[in-house]
Amino acid sequence: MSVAVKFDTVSRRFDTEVAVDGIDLDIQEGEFFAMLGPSGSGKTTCLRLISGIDRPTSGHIEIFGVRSENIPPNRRPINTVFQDYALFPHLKVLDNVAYGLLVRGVAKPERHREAENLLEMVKLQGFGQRMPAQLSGGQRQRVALARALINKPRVLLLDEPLGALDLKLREQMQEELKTLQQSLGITFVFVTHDQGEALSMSDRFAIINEGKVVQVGSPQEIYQSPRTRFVAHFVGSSNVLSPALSSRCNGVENWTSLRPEVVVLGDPGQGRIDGKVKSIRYLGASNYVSVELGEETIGALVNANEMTAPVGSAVSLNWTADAQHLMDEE
Amino acid sequence: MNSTTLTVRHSSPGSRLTDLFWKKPGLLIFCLLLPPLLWLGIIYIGSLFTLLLHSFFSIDEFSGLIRYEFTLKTYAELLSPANFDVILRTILMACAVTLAAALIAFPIAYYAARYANQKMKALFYLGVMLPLWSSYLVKIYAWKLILAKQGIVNWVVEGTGATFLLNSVLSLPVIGGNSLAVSYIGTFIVLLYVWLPFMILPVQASLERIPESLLEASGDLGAAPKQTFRLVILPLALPGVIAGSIFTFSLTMGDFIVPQIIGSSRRFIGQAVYAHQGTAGNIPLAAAFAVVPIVVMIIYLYFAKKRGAFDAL
Amino acid sequence: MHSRKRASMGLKVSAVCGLAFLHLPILLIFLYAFTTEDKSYQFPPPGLTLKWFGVTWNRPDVWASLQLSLEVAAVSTLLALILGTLCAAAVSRAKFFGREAISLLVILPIALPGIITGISLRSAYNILDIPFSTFTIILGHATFCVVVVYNNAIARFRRMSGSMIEASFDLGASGFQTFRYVVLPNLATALLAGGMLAFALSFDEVIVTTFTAGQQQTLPIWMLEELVRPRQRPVTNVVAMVVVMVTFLPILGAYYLTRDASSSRN
Repeated sequence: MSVAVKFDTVSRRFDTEVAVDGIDLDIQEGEFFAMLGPSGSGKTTCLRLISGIDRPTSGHIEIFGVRSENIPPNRRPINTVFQDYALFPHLKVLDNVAYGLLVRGVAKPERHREAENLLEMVKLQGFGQRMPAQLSGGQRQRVALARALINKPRVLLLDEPLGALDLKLREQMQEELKTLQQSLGITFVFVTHDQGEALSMSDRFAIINEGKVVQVGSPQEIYQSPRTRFVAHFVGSSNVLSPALSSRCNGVENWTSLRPEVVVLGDPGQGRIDGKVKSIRYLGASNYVSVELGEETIGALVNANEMTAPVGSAVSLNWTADAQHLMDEE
Repeated sequence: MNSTTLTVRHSSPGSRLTDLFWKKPGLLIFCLLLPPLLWLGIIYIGSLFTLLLHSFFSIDEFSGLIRYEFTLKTYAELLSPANFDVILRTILMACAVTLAAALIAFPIAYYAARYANQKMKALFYLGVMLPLWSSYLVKIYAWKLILAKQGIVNWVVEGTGATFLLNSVLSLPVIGGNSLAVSYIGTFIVLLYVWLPFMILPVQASLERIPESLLEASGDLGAAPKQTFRLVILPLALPGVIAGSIFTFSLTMGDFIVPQIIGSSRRFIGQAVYAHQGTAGNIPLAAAFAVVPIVVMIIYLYFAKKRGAFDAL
Repeated sequence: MHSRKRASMGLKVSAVCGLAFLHLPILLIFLYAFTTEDKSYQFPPPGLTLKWFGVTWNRPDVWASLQLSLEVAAVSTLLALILGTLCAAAVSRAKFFGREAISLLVILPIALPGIITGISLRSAYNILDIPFSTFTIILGHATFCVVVVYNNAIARFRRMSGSMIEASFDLGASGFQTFRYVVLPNLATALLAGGMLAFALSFDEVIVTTFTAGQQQTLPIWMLEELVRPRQRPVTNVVAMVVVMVTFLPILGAYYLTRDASSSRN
């Protein structure tokens, strides 16, 4: 597999702030790659640098092995699904989708035929004559997708494309996008602040914070072995044990991440450490039990039909050694 | 397909220009700005500069020609009692018109912003926009018709037997006169009429921006409607009033046609500028007179900006 | 701020009176255009006639002034459209140093009284020895018309999604194609509205024109002469009515153009 997009110490500074701070990153051809980070972390700027809408202040971006600094966005084999979809409000849906062919000088019948095909692919056949304002959010999103695919890009960039949709539609689109990417076989680069999306959709993803890549890996790798406290907190709501607490539980003085679903509650004195139940939140299929251990708390996910100790009672916490992950750095 | 290779190069001049502007976005901004900046910079600012320059020249009393030498003589002349009266009179009139405009504009703006439904709002908007944009001269002409000896005002006054009332108003010192058409009152009414619409729109805009929840919160905290008005609405509408006053004040100060057609023979700044540059050919003194509104407006704008009026423009 | 409560009687009355104060004088113009009285401004008119329309129709001086006014307004509007659009595009496109100063510079010609613009141009023509002509009138008019186009264009630019232009480039369009297929169609109604207002502004302008016109008469200058020294009262009445109607059309047009754009957004 070859590298589709390569970041080589790429930085993007604005007047006072550094949006992207010396990022190195390889995105493979044909993979579904996600960039996950909180808002303002620089992930959208990364996307704009790949598409060419923005340019790095230092470093290089290689696209299929070619340095891109002299290639404007209109000549990159890359298209974008914008966060606000950026549909042209004055053009019919069909003409929106056909726009990429229009500017290439493709004749009208041909570009309309092709646009119809793409509308069919995103399950919007028959919507071609409508105006974007007459569509629902989910439909607009599909139009934006069809429009971005009409030029047969080798890389498709998606900037939080599901952010504006409601939960059910979002889940449906997650699946559809994944299927689409697999059938097209092209690279998808997907920006999101939703860790669930990154985990469920991507082949690999990068966690970005304050303009830097904190960790890159497959969802399993990152979920099970977060490299830093930030990652542990951001990906899945892991417990993070301070070195002091960790040494009381394990005898190792490292920051340690511990996923709540592997923690088992028991009677006092029967586990690694004892604490007091602080609160119990009912989550439907399970209960989230917060256990107080001096200054810190550890959360445990317990099956809802299992009896749990009431709030205020003393409990022990236990887990297997492979369920925890010792982090190399803070 | 072309799109799948990176090496493809179009090299039409248009696409080269696209590349250039992509690499140097600042250059595009510069190219966009250049024509308007040149135009306004050279023609407008340049002219303002020559105006300022002229005010430091003087007129040769014997030949009547402009002496192009630096002197403060013209400014000394500007501050002579007769000319100073003109300035004072103009500024007082501008103040009076602005105050009256604010008083009349507020209920209109308040009603439109607070009580009018969508349809009424459009009607109000047009109801302000049409007089605002309709011909300045026609508006003055209409008042000439209204205030004429055989005009509608005298017809109403005679018809209702209110002659003594009008006469007692006209007999007031300074602002009175032989008839409304040749008094300060007449000038004031017409100036108010002509510039009033410029006050309504910014006031309404600032009132529209006050969220209803703010008024509800004030009521919820125990304020009576009058207190809410005084403590919440008025302060928040003030930037709009000031923004509107920029226009009414400035435009009144520079008007020379209204006082020429409706009013007494006593001059305003605008008339002085017009008269001195015209038949007298005394452009330096006309220029010096014109500098007065500029200076006044600069001071005015400075304070308006401090009160946040620019956001309400 | 919109209340479901009803307005008090006092507020309603003062609002309606305020609007009536703005409109009644203009309505009076329409009445006077039909009066049979030609020596004074008698109210109520002793009789109504259509004869002055015919008289005005056959007046070459009115036609000449009208033609000059239309010429000046057309050229000034065109210049203002170009300059105002360029300026709005630049200011809306990027944050750069001096943006506020540029906005101020554009607004200044109407924020300062017209007499300042007038006497400034007059003194500049004097220093540079430029003789008065149609051209000198247009210079002034285009200068204060820029702001109208600018205001309309910048409001539309702000409303345009910024990523729309980026999307066009992203899809392979060149700068020219983006302008032609994306920017212009979205800007068109705003420009039309701005252009109409600029036209109305120029067509009606008298203050600056008195300083820049020399012997030429635009229609407003013709009217001003009549206001100062009434000679043709009935003809003036008719011209006044026509002027009101000619300026109303672009204003209404501009209103409907910009209103549609803002309502279709929702």
